Amino acid sequence: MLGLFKQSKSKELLIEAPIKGRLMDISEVPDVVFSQKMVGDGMAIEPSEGRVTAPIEGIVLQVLDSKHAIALKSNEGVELLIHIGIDTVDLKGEGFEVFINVGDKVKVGDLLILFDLEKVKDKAKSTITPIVITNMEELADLEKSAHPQNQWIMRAVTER
Amino acid sequence: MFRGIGASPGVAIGRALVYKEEELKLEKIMVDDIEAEAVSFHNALELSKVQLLEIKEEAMTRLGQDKAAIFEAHIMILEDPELISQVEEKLKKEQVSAAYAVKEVLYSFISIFEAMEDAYMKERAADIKDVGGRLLKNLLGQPIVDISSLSNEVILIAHDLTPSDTATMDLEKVLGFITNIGGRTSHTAIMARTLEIPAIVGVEGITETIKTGDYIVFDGEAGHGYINPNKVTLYDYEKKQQRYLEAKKELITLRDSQTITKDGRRVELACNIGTPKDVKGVIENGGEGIGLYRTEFLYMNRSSMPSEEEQFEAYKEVLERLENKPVILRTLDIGGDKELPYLNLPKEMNPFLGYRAIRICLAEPEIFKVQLRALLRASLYGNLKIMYPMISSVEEVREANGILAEVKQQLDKEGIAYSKEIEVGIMIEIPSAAVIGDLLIKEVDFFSIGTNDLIQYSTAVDRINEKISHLYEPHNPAILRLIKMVIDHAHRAGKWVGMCGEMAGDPKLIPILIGLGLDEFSMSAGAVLAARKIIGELSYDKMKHIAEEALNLPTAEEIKAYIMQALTY
Amino acid sequence: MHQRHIVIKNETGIHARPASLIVKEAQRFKADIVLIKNENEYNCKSIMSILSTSSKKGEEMLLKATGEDAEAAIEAIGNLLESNLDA
Repeated sequence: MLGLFKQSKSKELLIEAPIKGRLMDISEVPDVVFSQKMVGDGMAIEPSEGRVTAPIEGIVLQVLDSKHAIALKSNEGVELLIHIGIDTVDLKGEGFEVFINVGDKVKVGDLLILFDLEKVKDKAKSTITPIVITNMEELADLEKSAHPQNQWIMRAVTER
Repeated sequence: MFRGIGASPGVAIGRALVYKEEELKLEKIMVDDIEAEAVSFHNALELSKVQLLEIKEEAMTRLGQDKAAIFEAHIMILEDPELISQVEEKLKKEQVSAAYAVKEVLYSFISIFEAMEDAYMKERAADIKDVGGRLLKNLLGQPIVDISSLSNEVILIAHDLTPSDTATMDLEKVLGFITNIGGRTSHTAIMARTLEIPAIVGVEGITETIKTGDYIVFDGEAGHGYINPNKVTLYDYEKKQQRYLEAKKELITLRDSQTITKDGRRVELACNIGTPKDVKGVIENGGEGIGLYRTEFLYMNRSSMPSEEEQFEAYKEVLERLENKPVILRTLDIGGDKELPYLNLPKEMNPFLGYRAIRICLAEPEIFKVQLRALLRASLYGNLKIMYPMISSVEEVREANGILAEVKQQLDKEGIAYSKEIEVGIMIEIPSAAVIGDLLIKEVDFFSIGTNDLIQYSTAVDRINEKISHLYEPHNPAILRLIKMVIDHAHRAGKWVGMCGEMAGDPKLIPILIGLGLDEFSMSAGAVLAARKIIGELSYDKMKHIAEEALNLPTAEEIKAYIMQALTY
Repeated sequence: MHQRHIVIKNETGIHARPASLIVKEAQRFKADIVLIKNENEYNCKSIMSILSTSSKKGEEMLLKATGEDAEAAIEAIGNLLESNLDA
């Protein structure tokens, strides 16, 4: 068997960008918890607008009271965390509006959160928004791409 | 696209060089011109000798006399009168080709060695195969890929890399390696990380899939890559490589900084090493000391015990190069998976629960004393600390300390000086030691927690056993509680605790270890700078609180999730 | 032809380093020098032969030399074989 990977039971998930803006690698996020991949691996976006849409099809696992972070689980079993800005917890939800509830099913493109980009720019450490896969140990592989030609920013392959 | 186990981080972009042992097809060919065959044979012998002499020279300058000695032995095999006369006999009697004759004679020698009981002798069969392979290739006019001097930069593709491969390879020209077999802790992986060359191991069949000259890109951390990638993929990898190098540069600025949390708690980041050669990496990566010097490397891969002088020289070298920084030397820790053929240790049913490490030293104090003498004499040259492995009871520590005291007395009698301020500590890797930490701390100056074994012994899991390796879990509340127990016992006695297992360098676990009050973290040199950066952004107070809460949670999953949330939200 | 009965005294028997010492020494002499153990003959000038004797401490063998300087060879090799080779 060659190292080429195509087992019948594993699933592949293409993850799109949940926010419009400048795409970067997780290692460039100005917070060690994300940049040192302590929470998981992924990408990050510096938003050009305050609008977060679902990057995958799946369900909503968790939304923080302070509305600046949301956890999703894709149909393939990949768990994603979208954390709007850095140290945004201090805003205590001011300027954030949530459009879904825990347990809701979502499709790619569904509106999740609207937020005041200017306010975050003003009061938080950074607007950079990490998009992190939190169950890396269940993945066989994760590929990332920042190339404009690719619709996806991450490609996750699950084990089994 | 190919995928394997990410063994050493970094991004490699370049042309492949496949380093492969061709299955030499040697059928019995009858020949007419025996003279010509004999001449070919002797020419091949000469050529092989010349090649080996060159390699030996290279090895001597780059690696020292010791490593070069292997090639000395290979040359002797080529000059062996038995080998030569047996091949010549065969040529005359059977009228076969020189290659076939050589193969037959070699195989007979190889089988003799492989049949020997002595483990050391069995390994000599590998030497004969190695030299024999070279001789046959020269005889058949096949190219020998010599990785000790490469003309271009390459990504090396091989089945596996042996210690002599990694020792002799032309490092300046190797951009990365990919191997068919191996895991994160296999020799190739460890060497790659030490040499800071990106590598992926365990890519089955890669030596067949990739051809020399193919353009390869790969990510050594993620463990995947592409053969002859398209523009888009190449762009992504070039960006990745750029980012990786920039991140490394950024981290270097932390090299000479202290390791201190946001709220001012200082801890020490040290490194685990196996030989004096590893010291270079420690200094380059800003290690504040050596938390574990695995002295058993001095005892391995040789046919006899290292003398007191040999040991003294090695210890002295490391101590001098670290200057005032602490160097913790662990006394001989072999048995189980680390064998020493010349000790003739009995085969055991349960080597990990058997006659090993300090148990051997206490049962054979003559061996122990040689090491202790070398350590004490070397102590004058730096900041030496001694650590005993595999302690399970107070009795063992007292016995070991007793022998240490005897050795000191002996040196006093001989008028040989040693430092009067050597700290002595023990590894906490056996659960019983963790439980009686309060009693043990009275006998020593410090503890160092060996988490790899502590986790295995506490949860009764062999981490290599695929069926149950998922049970090897550092976040298991039992492990975290044991760690807390050990740290608390030591702190109550006013003494410090370090950790030299893999956990210490794991970014995911550093926060909770900070919260539990760990004083020293010893890890591989390459992990130091990232750890320093992480600790610099943590608050000890916050982590202390998080640790307390986490230890009340029932499962590893919940603990992981709790820590993650506490850190991010 | 000269011969001598010898007993290996080296702790670790005849391993690679001692073996190469024996071979180097044997090659200095013109005589044919062999070790006889269990009715097998091992050529002292061949490293492969010496290693394959797989000799341990305490083993007894017969050392035999034939030729010009056989006597000197027996003396030198015999002493070497019975010495503490690892030192």
